[in-house]
Amino acid sequence: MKGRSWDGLQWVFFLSLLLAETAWVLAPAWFFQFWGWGGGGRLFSPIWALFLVGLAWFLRGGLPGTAKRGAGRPSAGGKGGEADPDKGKNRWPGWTDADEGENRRPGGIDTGRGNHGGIDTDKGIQRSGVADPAKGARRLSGADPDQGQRWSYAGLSVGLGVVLAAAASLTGNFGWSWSSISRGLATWCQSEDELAAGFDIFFIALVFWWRGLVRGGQHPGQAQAAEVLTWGLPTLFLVAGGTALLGQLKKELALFLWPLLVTYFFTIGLALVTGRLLDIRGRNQTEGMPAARRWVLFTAGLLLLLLLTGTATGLLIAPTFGSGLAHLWDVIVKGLEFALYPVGFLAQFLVYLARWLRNLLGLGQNQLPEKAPELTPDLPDYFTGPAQYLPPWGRVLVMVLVVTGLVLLMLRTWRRLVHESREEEDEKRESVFSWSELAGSARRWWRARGKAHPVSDPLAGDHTPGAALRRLYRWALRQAAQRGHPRRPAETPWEYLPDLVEAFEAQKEEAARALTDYYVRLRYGERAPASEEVEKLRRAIQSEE
Amino acid sequence: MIFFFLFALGLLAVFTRQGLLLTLIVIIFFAEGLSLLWRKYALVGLTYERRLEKDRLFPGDEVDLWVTVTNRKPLPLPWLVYADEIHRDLRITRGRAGAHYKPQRQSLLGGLSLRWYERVTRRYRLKAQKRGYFVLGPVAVQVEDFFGLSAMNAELPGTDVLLVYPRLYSLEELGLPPQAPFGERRGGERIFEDPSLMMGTREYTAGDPFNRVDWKATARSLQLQVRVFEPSVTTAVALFLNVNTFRYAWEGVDEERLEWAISLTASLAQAAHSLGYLVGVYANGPVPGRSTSLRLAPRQNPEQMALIMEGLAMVSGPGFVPMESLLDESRAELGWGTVVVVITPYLGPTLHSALLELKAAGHPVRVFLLSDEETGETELEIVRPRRRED
Repeated sequence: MKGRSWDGLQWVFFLSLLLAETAWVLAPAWFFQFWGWGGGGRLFSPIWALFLVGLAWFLRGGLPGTAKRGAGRPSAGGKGGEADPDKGKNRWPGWTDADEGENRRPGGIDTGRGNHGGIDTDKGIQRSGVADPAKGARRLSGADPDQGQRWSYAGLSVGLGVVLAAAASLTGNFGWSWSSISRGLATWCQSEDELAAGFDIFFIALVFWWRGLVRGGQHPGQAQAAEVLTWGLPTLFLVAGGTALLGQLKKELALFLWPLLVTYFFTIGLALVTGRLLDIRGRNQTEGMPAARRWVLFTAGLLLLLLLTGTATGLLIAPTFGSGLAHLWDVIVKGLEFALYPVGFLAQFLVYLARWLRNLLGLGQNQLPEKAPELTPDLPDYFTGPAQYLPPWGRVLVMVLVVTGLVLLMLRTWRRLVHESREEEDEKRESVFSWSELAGSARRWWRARGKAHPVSDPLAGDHTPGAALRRLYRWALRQAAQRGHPRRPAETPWEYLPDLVEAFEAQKEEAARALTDYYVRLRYGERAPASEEVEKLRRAIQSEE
Repeated sequence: MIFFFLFALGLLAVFTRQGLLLTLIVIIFFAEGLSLLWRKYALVGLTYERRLEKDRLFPGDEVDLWVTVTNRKPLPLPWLVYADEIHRDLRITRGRAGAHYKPQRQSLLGGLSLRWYERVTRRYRLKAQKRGYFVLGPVAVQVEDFFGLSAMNAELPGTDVLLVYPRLYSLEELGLPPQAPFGERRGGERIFEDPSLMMGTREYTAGDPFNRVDWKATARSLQLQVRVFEPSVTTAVALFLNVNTFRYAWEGVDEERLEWAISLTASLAQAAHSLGYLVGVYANGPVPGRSTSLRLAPRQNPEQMALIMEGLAMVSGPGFVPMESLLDESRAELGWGTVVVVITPYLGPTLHSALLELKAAGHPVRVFLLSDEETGETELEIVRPRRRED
C-alpha cells in the first residue's frame, strides 16, 4: 500500500481506543440519566471530541507537532540525501527497508570508507547526515517488521477474546439495553470517598510514568496516545477548571469531574498499555533493560513523583505545615495501598475468568472460592451467572479465542524472558564512580554555569591576529572532528584539507582553503594575516549553512 | 503559553481549594522540570567506545565487537538507545541490526539504562562477508528523560576501522605451476653469492678457493667437490592490478570481476612472497586516506606482505588512471629484470603496446587476463587463470 501501511497492531490500538471510548463515555451519560437530565451526556462529553480529533489524526497518519520533534518519525532512506516527504509516512520508525532509496549506480562499488577521503559514493549523503540533528533519531530505526506483524495477530486474538468475554458477561448479567449496560459499566468507575485521595494521584502518576516507559518503544500507538495525552491535557484542564468553578456554585456539578478524569485517563492508560503489551518493536529497541530493572525503575519513579506531588500539594493546600505533612503521609500510604491493588485485581479477575469459563463449558457450579482475599477490592459478580445467552458455536468461538490468546500471550512472555536472559550474558556493568569524579563534575558544572557553549565563538576575547587565526583553525578542526572528519596526527594541513572541505560542505570550500593557506603561512612562515582578514574568514566559515 | 495557563489555573485552584486540580498541575510542573534537567545534562559525560577483538580479517571470519557506554555524571540515564553505523557487508551475527538511511549501511541497535557513573560493556559479533575497508561509526544516540517528554539526539564522533583482506587461493586452485607461477625464473647474475643459501656441489676446478671445498661430499664421491651458492640477487615481481573492469568508464564496474581480480593479485603476491621473490603491488584504484593509487614497490621490508594485503583490502574501483599510465609512471621504480605481472580484465591496444615496451626494456611480462577477450597473435605471455568456482 503506497504511502500508508497499516498492520494488525495499529488496528488493535485503534479498536481498543474505540471500544474504550465507547464504553467509558457511557459513564457521564449514566450520570446525566441518574440526575434526570436525559441522554445528552453523549453529546456533552469532551472525550468524544478528543477521540474524533485523535481519529482524524490517526487516519491522516500524523499528528500536529510531531514533525518538529523529529524523534521517532521515520524518514525516507535518502536518494542522494534528499528526504521524500511521502515516504515513511504512516510507517513505524525503522520500518524503512534498508534497500529503499539505495544510491546505486551501474556496478557501483561502495568502499565503505566513510570519512577517509578519496572517492566515496556516499559523500553527499554523509555530509548532509551530520548537520541535521533529526538524523540522529532517524538512524534509530528498528528491526524485523515481520515479527511485530506476527505478534500483532496474537494481540488481536487476545483483545477480541477479552472483549467478547466482557461483552458476554455484561449482556448476560444486565441484558441488552443501553441503560443496563451503562449501569453495569458505571459500577466500575464509582469512586469511594476513602479512595479518592490516593487513587487520582496514583492513576495520573501511573499514566505519566508509563508514558515514560513506553516512549522508548517509539511505537506509533504509544506515540499517538502520548500525543493525545499531551494535547488533551489543556482541554481537560479547561473542562476540569470550569467544572470546578461551577462546582462552587452548584455542588452536584462537581460530580462530573471524577468520571471525566477517570474516563480520560483510563482511555489513555488503556491505549498505552495496549501499545506496550503488544509492542514488539519497542521492546526490540529498548532491548537490554531487563524486565526486573524496568519495574524497579518504574516503582522508584512513581514513588518519587508521588512524593514530589504530595509535598507540593500538601503544603500548598494545607492550612498549616503540620497538616500538610499529614496530607503527604496520607498520599504515600494511599499510593502504596493502591499500588497493591492491581495485583489483587488481577488475581481476582483470573479467579472470575476461570469460573466464567467453567460455567461456559457447562461443567456445573464451580468449586473455586467465592471471594478473593480480603486485600483485593470487590468486583461485580459478572462472571458467575449461567451463560445461556450465547449459542453453542458462540461459546466455542469465545473459548477458542480466549484460550488461544492466553496461550500466545504466555508464549510471548516466555520468549521475551528467554531472550532477555540471553542478552544479559553478553553484558557487563561496572561502576566508574569515585569521589574525585564527582567533585570534578561539580567543579566543571560550577565553572560552566551560565556560560555559552565554548565553541560558539572561537575568537571571543582579545587576541592578536595570529592567535585568533590559530584559534579559528583549532575550532575548525574540532568542528570537523565532530562531523566525523578527525585529523590524523601525521597529517599536514594541506593533506587534511579535503577532509576539512568535506566537513564544511562544498560551498565553504573557498573559506576552508583560505583558512588552511593562512594557517600554513602562519605556522611555517610566521606570517600572520591582518585582523580584518581573520574576521572575514571567521564570518565565511561560520556562516549558516 | 500553556505554562502560563497552567500557572493561572493553579492559582485559581489554590484560591478555590481544588486539591485535585492543583495536584494535576503540580504533576505537570514537576514532570516538565525533571524533563528539563535531563534535556540539559543528559548528553554530558556520555561516551561510546568500540573495541574489536582483531581488526584484520578474511572473508567469512567473525570478530567480537565490544561496545562500552559510559555515563560519567551524577544524572542517571533511564533510556538510552544507540544506533551504530556499520557497513552492510559486515553481518551482525550477535546483536540487533536495523535499517539505516544511508545506502549500504545498517545500524547496530541497542538500548539500555545507565545509573550514575556507570559503564556498560556489551559484546556483539560481526561476520565479514566481503573484502573491504569498513569504518564503524559514528554512532547516533538518543536519550530520553524518565517521562519520555523529550528526546535528545546526538551523533557521537569517533570511528573504528575493520579491514577484511581479499580471499586467497592456492596456486593449485588457480591452475598455475607451484614452482614457477610467473614463468621460468631467471638465474640472476652470479657476481655475488649468498653463502647462507647453498645450491649444491660441483667438481673442483683450478682456482676455486679452498674454503669452499665440501670435504664430506668429497669423501662420499672420492673426488674433490666444492660448494655452489645461490646468487645473492633476488628476483623481484611487480604485480599490476587493473581495477577498471571494462575498457570505458561509462560501462561501470563489474563488482564480481573486480573482487576476483583483487583476490588473484593477493594470491599471486602471497605465492611470490613464499617463493622468495621480492613483491610489489601497484593498482590504479583509489585507496582510502591516500591521494594516490596503491603503489608498493618491491622491497625487502619485513612487513611488505602485510602492507600489500592491507592495500588490496582497501583498494576499490573504478580506477582514476589508465593502466598504461600507471605502468609508465612506475617504470622507473622497477629494477632491472623485475618480472612484471599484470592482472587485468581486458587487454586493449594501448595497454598491449605499453606491455610490449616493458618487455622490450628487459622485463619479463606475464598477463593474467580475466576475460575471454581475443588477443590474437602476441609476443606477450598470456594466462587465463581458472576460477575456483569454475
